[in-house]
Amino acid sequence: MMTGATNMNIELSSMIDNELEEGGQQALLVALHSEKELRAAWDTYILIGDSLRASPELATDFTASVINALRAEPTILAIHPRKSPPILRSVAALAASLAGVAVVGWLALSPPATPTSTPAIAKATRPLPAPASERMQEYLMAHQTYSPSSRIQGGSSYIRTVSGSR
Amino acid sequence: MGDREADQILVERVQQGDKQAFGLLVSKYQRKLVRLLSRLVRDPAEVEDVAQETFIKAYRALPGFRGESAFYTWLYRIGINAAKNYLAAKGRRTPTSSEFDSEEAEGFDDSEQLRDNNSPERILMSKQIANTVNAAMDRLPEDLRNAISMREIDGMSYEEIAQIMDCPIGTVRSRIFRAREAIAEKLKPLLDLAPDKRW
Repeated sequence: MMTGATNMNIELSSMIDNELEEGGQQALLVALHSEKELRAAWDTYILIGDSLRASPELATDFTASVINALRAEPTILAIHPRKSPPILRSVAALAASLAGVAVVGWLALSPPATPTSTPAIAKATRPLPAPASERMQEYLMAHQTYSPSSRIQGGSSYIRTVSGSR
Repeated sequence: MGDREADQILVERVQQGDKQAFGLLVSKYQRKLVRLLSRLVRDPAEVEDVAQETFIKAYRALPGFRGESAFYTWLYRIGINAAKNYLAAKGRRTPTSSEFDSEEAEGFDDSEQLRDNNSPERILMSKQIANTVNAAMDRLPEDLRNAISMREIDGMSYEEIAQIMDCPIGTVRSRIFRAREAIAEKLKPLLDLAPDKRW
């Protein structure tokens, strides 16, 4: 029967060979962060590989020195957003395109809004207000030109009101 | 998953504040980097200093590493620059860029020259490790020996090994692990001599 530590070491061995799924790798990295024995196993497995590939520098092992030196260094916190796999990006682009087409289609094909119960246009029972005086029209036009509520800034001077054209 | 993707996961872990994950990268690439740097800096003690400095510089530069190149390629460039700066500071000739940049990082073998330059103690230690690993390999059952050889020496994936050995991938996984454990057991007395090497 395999112990937890053995299972962990099997996963470590797979991770060194790049044969561990990313999910498993993340869990193992959490364990590696805290377990010295697991890190020692990593070192030994790497050393075995280097030895089998006839590396001449088998006595080299300065990981501990580097890690000790890094204790004085500020901890890095630089999280870059991971690029999503190309297939996911393609699917996302396709979904965005379809959504765009759907919205445009819906707007183009939907019948114009015709209220079923259009309120009857109120007949002008009251008399229309008397046309503003010529002077008042000029004042209103000048005011509209600079009014921030106007959507057409500066363009209203070219618009004639109905009452103004009379 | 290739080396590049696997290293990127470790890099991201370091970028999230895990210094121990950087130790895994140091452990993985230290000998390879030392081999490369020894072409520039001939004294083995100096090579190791430059190699350590390279890793520390790499750690400091890691916030800007976004994985556009493989981690080792990036580390290699930092190492070459560190070695050139080191030689310049010592007033020694710096090899021209064509002597280095034109060659692939992995494509050379000057192990004999390195052995000649190393101190007797280091040569002895390296030989002891190599002999222990080779002796342990010889004692392994054939299926375990073949599995780990195909993986470590020939660089085959588990799937390829499974096809050749005509067994499930899980069996390959188990055989390689058991081979490593058997060799590690033989190495233990040798490595336990250096407790300061633990981190």
